[in-house]
Amino acid sequence: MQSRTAGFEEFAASNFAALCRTGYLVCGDWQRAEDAAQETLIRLYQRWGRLGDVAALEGYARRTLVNLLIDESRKPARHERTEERPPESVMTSGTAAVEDRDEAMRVLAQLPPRQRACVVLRFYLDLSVRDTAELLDCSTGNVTRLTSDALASIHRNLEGSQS
Amino acid sequence: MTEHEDELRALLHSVDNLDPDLPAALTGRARRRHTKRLVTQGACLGLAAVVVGGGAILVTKEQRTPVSVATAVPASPTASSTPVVTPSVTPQGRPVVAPDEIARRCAPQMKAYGAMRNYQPTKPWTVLQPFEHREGDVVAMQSGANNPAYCLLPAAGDEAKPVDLATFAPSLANRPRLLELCSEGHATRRPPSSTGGRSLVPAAKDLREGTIRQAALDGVGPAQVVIGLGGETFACTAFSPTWDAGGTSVSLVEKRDAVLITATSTGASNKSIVPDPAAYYFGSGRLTQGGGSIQFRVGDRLVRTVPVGADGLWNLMLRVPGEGGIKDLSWRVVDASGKVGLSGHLLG
Repeated sequence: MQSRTAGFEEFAASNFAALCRTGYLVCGDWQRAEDAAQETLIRLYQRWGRLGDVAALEGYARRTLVNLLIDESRKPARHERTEERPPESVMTSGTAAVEDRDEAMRVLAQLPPRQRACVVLRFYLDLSVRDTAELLDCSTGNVTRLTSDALASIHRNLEGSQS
Repeated sequence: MTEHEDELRALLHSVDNLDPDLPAALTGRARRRHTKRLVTQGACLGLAAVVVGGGAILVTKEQRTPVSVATAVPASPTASSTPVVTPSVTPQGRPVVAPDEIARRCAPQMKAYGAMRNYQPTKPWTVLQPFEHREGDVVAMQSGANNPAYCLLPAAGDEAKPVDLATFAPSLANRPRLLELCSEGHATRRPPSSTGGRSLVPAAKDLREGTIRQAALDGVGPAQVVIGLGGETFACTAFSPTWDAGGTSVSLVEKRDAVLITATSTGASNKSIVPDPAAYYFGSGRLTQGGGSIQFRVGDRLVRTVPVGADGLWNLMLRVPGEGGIKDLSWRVVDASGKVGLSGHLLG
């Protein structure tokens, strides 16, 4: 039990922030992203020792996180939202980062959940079409179509905001 | 489309600065749920499994745990600079007090503060920050746009009891109080001053539920604190109210390839109300590359080495005793293999 815990804690410590960030991009709500990241790691603990190497663990964690958030987005009654985004931080030199984050959230908010997840997996995590398809449990053709539709929508959106 | 893909990638990576802390209780929750599953699965096998798994009775509804643990950052070689674990302030059982009532209850303390400072404001003292305040909380009060003063919010009937100003002196032994001082003392109604180019947070920032990731204090003086909250990291410099006014500030910690330091000096010759002559150098930051250390020198003399965490975080509060005010402090980043990287000067 001790080595199980130690290994899990090490993995959790080094992956929690990345899971939160990915979740935030997928759902647009920091609180929900943190909750989903915690739930993901708790579920991972149940399967600890049966998944293989670190790459397999990361794959399982991403898959669980994304599916949790997509499933949740389908539910008619969402959890209570206490904080949709990380605390506002208006600052001199950091303004650009915050503005970019807002812009990213605005662009992603236009997309349906699976398109949004597809964009995050392909362009934030740089997963291949095949890995993305496996993670989303669909065909590679489906990923290509989701990506293409999402990029067309984002393209229109960015063009609109710049004109 | 490629141009838009690049733009999209850049936008998506704007979240990379968000850096939440792993909740301390997560492994415990995972272990309890694992035990519960084992008990549930084994229940049909007989009573023994239920008895063995009796601990699972304690498993209750899963709840998000806001209290976080400090990340594993190497301890500073200085005795006063340590990574610390901070319990959140627990407000249970203490009623929220309305701002007007706070102003009434704090009036005697403000009068005593004015007498100490020889300061008699013409405008009424009002509550500075828009946070909920409960009896026993530290509350920053402000008269007009002047520097804030602290009040320890008394229970009704205890207004006349004197409060020692040492109550508001930053101390590493009282972590919740440090978080209160940083949340309350950061004056948002006045423009920032003497920030050394750091990015201040002009909006009110309630850091009381934050996690202290690093804290440093050199002797008796201001404290430099790194606080994590909601995926972001803040640096706070907390001053005692018996020091020169208006020092407490909060800034956002961002990754950068530079070490930004602020300095102040005390002693009569420096027109400070603090008699002890010394210079204080302080700052916090996150370097893009973690590990190693930062060496600080005054002239050729090495005066402090602070560790750089694996996540790039560093934190400094340095007191250099003596007359002469602020001197040029130089810094250089040394990686784990001893190789010198970035370097610079406070006044350069």
